[in-house]
Amino acid sequence: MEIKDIKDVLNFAAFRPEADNSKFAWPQRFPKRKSSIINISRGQVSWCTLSRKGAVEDTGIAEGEFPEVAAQMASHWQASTEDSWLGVSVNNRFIISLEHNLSRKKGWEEDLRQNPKSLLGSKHDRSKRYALHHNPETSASLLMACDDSMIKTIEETMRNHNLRPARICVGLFAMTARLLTQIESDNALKSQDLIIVTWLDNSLCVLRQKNGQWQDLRCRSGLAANDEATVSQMVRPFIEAAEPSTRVILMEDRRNGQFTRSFLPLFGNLNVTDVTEENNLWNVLGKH
Amino acid sequence: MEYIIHDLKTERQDVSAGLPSGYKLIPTLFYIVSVASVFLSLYFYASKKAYQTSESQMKSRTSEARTQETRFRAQQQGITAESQKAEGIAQWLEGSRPLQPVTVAINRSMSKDSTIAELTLTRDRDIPSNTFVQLKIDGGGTEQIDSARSALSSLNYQIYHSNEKKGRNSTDFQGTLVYAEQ
Repeated sequence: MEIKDIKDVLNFAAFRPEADNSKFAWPQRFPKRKSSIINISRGQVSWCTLSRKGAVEDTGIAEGEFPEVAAQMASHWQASTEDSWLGVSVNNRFIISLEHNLSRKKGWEEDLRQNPKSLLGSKHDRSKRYALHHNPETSASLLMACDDSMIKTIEETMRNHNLRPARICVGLFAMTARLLTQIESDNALKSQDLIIVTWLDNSLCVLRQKNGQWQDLRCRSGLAANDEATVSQMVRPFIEAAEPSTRVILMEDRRNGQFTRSFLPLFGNLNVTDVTEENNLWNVLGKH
Repeated sequence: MEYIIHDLKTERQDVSAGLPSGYKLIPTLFYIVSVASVFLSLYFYASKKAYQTSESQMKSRTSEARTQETRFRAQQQGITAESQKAEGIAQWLEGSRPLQPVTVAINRSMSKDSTIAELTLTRDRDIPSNTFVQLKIDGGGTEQIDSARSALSSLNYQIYHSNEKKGRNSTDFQGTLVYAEQ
């Protein structure tokens, strides 16, 4: 037993899960501790500092690829978190797809991490890392696949700058899953005909839900800035299939963000409900 | 069920989920004991200080009482000395009782056949109330001595350590006269 172990018992740190324990939500990993979260997009890195109460304190953004930005900002990020732990949101080189009849046996989360092939079968690709979000009422699931090499590059870069990843997730998938959970818990919403749109720094995910069924999904990550043609191409099939009663539920990374400013007219006369909160991405990542 | 965001990072081995909550009792007890120790230390320190103050007050009172005792003893000794002097005076007054009635009473107790050959009345130096009497009577013998005794008793004198010695024609009598208050 070392002095640190005794100190951890006396300050109750030993009773908290370690900061990189993926089985616990962010506030459980950093109770009454400052933390920082970064979002790595294509050619851009943004970050925020969460206070001891979990409120967004400070945000920033820098142009450039992650290794370059990390070289400049590592010391700042270290100063704004404890023990160099960082939460990372990846917003590039991932794809979300709609799947059916994936196994939901007990411990599937661990299987997905350790042996994804046992869950995904022929859909498994060794060069990807996966995350799943199941529809609790149907056999549909959202499957997110992210480049393994990019995750390793991020981890290597962080290690080189004495930073430690507490969590690496895909921010857009986290926001989408959070929004779907919110819809599932709302009896009025979940039975409606919905087009669920989530947007995070030029990554877009559009999902059609009708009578509680997920029917269609399209996702693109790392779009070029103001690429209206691609966004329009993605959204158009949903709009064409929409009925007058169809509602659009929109969630962006921040209130009055780029999607609202640039692409909202694409939905024409459809009823759009923006459920985006202030600092939405940081709040989602910092509270779950 | 709480929504927990997925995690794609390379997992570290043996990641701790934290010790069981029940073990929080250990540091809690540690802090309680620490705080109690501090309070007890302060309490004992305050008690010690109070004791020291009280002890110094007691010492001061004891020393004051001793001073008073010494003063009272000195006064007592003075009073005792005065008392002894007074007793001496009282004894002297007692012993200074006139001896003339004694000689007159002895003289009158003599019958016609008897004569006083020698009469000595000596006051005790240490106890003036005691008077040593020596009487030598020619003739009369023991009866005459008893007559003298009766005469002295009528004057409220008691005779101690009396001694008679009978000669051929005379009788010697010795004793100590002590006046008895009625």
